[in-house]
Amino acid sequence: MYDEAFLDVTRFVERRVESDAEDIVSGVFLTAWRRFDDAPPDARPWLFVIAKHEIGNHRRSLFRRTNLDVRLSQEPPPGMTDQVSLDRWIDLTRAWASLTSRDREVLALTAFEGLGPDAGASVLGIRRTTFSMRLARARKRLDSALGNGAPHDRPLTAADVPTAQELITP
Amino acid sequence: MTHDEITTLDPAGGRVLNSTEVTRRSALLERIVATPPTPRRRTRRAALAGVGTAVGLLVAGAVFAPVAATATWTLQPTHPTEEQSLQMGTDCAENWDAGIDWPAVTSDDILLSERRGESGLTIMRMGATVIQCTDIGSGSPGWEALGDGYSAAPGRIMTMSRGTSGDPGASQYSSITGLAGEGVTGVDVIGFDGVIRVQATVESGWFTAWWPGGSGGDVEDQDTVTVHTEAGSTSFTLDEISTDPGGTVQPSSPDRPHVRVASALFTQTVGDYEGRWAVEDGWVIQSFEEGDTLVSTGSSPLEEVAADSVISFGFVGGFESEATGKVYAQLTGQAGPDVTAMRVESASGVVTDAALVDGIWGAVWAAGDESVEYGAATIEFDTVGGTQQVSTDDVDAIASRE
Repeated sequence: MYDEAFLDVTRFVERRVESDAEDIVSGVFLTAWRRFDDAPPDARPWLFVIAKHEIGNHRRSLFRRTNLDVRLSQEPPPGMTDQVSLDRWIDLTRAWASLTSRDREVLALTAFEGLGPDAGASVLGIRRTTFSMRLARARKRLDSALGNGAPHDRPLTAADVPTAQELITP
Repeated sequence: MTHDEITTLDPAGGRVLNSTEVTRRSALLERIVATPPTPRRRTRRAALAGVGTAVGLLVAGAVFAPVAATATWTLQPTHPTEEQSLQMGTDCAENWDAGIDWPAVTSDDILLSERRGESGLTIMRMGATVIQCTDIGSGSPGWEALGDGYSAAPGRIMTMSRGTSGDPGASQYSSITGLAGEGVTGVDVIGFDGVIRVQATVESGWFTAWWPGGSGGDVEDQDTVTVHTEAGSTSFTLDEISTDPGGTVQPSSPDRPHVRVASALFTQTVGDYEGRWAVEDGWVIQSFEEGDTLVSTGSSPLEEVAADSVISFGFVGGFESEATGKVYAQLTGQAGPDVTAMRVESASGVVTDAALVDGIWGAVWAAGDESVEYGAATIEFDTVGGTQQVSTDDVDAIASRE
């Protein structure tokens, strides 16, 4: 489990912190070892939850009062050289930046970490259906931001956080 | 927007371990396994109003404090000064979502605030969302979104969140938060040993209480809650005042305060899942239940709709039954008087004949591929002029209002 997961956890952490990832990853696996009896067969989401706690602890130790957020690649992917693709990538980064941290998190868990609804929901501590709805909403906002500029120049509304109402009128 | 396009934003997409890191990885493993695994003490946090609840940054809700903060905890809460309360609310808002320019917090936003020694707890309304922030002396409160749209019956309470947070040790605490119905003057949490664990703060229709504790302070199912009113005191088990993670009212709760559509304009059923729709006072109200259990309710104001057109209230939402594992989807809206029949095709390809009565339409169905089910759907509707198709993206009344 360790060798397989080490890179996944390293990536997970590096997607969310700019520095000290190695210390955080060490803490993740130390905690995981202490709780080894609790490890589920698919340990990745479980490790990611531990990683979130470790990142949170680390941030607090630095007195940073920010929420967990997903970082953005500062460079286009290697091999992306044509101007059309580069322009599109720049638009995409701007659209990504316009999202809320919660939208970015659910998108990242799906696209970066490659988690499905069950695993993603367990990382966020929410239900699978809520995760799916939140993902659908985030994708829609990203699409909207790409086509119509940033839609989040507005206060959050109930639509940004699942409520009972969401079940009926998301 | 494709999945592959999003991956181009990944800051660690091409990350591999170099030889030095591989060596360190091995060294770390050796260090770790040299320490004995420690039996884990229980740490849990049950967010009970679930579909309506986002445990915000579980991280934040689980990390606190220096020993001194919990050491100063008091069984009876104190009410902060208005200045303290505003500062607590401001801290809460800042932690709720970085990057959003909220208007300055005012006392009207704050529903409840309490202090126990050096620690503070705030329940406040942020836009349409109710959140709770708990600052166990760190100055950086963890937050949790609480379910909204519920109400507790007079003299009763309803739990919206309870559980234990934090790693075992001095920083761990347990809490219970919920709605307090009219006439509730106090709430005590009584441990299984009959001793009062904590006296809650009751304010603005909410109650909350927290107390330091690992295993000894954990919220146990055998704990009870005593609700005080002017008419007397009544004790309830936690199950009797709880909603489950789906927002479901437990069948054992006889005075369920949720609004079930009693006199339905129409209903639609798939398996054990039933949607009920009605119009009251200019609102479309809806309730959904599985078997005899109400699982969700909702409402949306009536809109003006052209004769040959339709609107939807949002896009496809759904419900996952914990009891059966079945997953359902649903959609609601209005149609003009010329519309004679409607069908909803979900993104997964499930086609459902919508019920349509008096310009209100609704549909429930067994969800297909969940990864795409929730979101936009295609609405097909018939008029004397023919059949048309529209996407909910184009006729979403809620999105239009925003």
